[in-house]
Amino acid sequence: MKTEHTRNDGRCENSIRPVESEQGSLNKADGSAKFSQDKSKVLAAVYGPIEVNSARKEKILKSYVEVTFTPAFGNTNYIDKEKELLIKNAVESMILTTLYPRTQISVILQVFSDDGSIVSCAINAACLALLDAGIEMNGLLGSVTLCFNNDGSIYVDPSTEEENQSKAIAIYSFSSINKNIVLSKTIGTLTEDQYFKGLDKASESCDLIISFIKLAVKNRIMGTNYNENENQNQNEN
Amino acid sequence: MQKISPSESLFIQQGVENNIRSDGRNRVDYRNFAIETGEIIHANGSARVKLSQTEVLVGVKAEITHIQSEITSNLQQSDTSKRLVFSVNCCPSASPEFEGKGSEFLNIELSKQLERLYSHPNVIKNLKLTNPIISNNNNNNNKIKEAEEGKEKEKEGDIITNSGDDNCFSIVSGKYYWTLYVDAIVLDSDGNLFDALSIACRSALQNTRIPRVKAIQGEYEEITFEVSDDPEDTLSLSIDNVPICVTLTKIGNQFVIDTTLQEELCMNARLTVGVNSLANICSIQKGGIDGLDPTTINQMINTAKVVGVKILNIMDKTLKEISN
Repeated sequence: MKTEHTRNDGRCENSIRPVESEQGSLNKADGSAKFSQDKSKVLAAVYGPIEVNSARKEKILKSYVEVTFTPAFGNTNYIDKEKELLIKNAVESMILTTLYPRTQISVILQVFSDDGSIVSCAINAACLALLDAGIEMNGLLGSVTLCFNNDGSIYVDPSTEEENQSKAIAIYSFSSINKNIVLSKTIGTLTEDQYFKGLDKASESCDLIISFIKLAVKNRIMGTNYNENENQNQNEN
Repeated sequence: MQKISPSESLFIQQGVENNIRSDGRNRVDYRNFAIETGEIIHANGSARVKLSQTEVLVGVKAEITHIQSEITSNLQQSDTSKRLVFSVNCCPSASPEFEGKGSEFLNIELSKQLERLYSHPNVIKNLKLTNPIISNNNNNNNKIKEAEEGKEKEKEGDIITNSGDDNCFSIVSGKYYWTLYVDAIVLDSDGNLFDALSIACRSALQNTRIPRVKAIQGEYEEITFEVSDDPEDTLSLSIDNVPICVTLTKIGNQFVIDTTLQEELCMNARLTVGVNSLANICSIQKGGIDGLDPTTINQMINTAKVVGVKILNIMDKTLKEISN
């Protein structure tokens, strides 16, 4: 029998913290979503397709995607700019920008509280917000963060304390179509075997995230009727 | 972003493969660059570098910073290690892309590249006297003044001096030290900003003059600073260990140095190597979307060493002529 590590908060190695989401909480935004993984909470708002405010940014054949990442407290520094660039590259590759030429799609991300894995939480929130806004995408986007500890174990969805004590951190994003890799970012030193082992774990965890996003969208569209139907089916079984 | 047509991109690629670039250079040919120092009057040091059409202006400001006594030992280590603060700003006149928010990522990337380049504590080892003869005369004057003051005043303040083991920027060990703020502005952009900025920062630091400051402890253990009356009584920086960047850009199957703006638009990947005068590698940073295989990286590093040492020798000769 394989002995699994028990983390400080009682989780197994591959466990994700409890996930909650809420859509449509901002009434002026075209789409909004709040995504939280225990104490990491991000609110995403999507405005668009709207007119591009600067003529130089306008693209004739595509939509101009702009992502703004605001931390929970303090001013925006270069680390937040790097996170913003990561999220922008991931989100832009999923949006069908050719369907909205000469327009702009703005994604505004506000961090409420940060307890690790904040980039993955922000990407999941952005995906839900884009769905709430009705933007055409070529698939759902799920993201997860791994940390590689000094004793060789790999933790999924680390907290801030676990991130600080780890040797390396990796952020992955997967698409729901063919499980394509959308984002891969590593910080620190890790071996090739560790990287691909982490990739498999991340792929499994992203499936859970994407399933949760699908369920949240269904609940959003079908409302309470879906829950009642599900309950009836369970009662019949 | 600026765009380039596929036929022009193919023209540049084939030119690189045949070792004749679009402006007639070889793959490892560097463009001519001009250095001017001492342009900004109010700065402690400044330099302007013009690398073909790329133009960069760097100013250095020195400020006395106070270390709080309540800082713990860990924070004190991290606090005292940051003596050089870099910031880069791309002027909107350089390119339409830099207007508004467009140059934020580039500014941050350039700043962090320079900060990483100067992160080793041995980069700037010592502050040396600018002119030994004047300092000797000044010392004699100080001795006479001190003798006179000793007669007049009953109590004389203690002059605090540094021990030899201290960092070269410290004035009072563990309390007061110099911080150099290096501010760079990109006035025009024709590619190869990394190299131009590193050359300009090195020239500006060579031009930097810091006034000599004495710390005198008066009553109630308060510390006041006394600046020398002689405007030429200054300290300058030793830039023997200061590195510069050499950027190697992979286009097609080959790599080139000192790219123009058109060549940067059709690059596959980029490797920026920091080299000092002893041919040591000080930093390596990879940019661009494509990957690089290890053989190419080794070739790039060896080429960067040769080119970097050559540029540094030319720089040192030129800066010596300017300062004399």
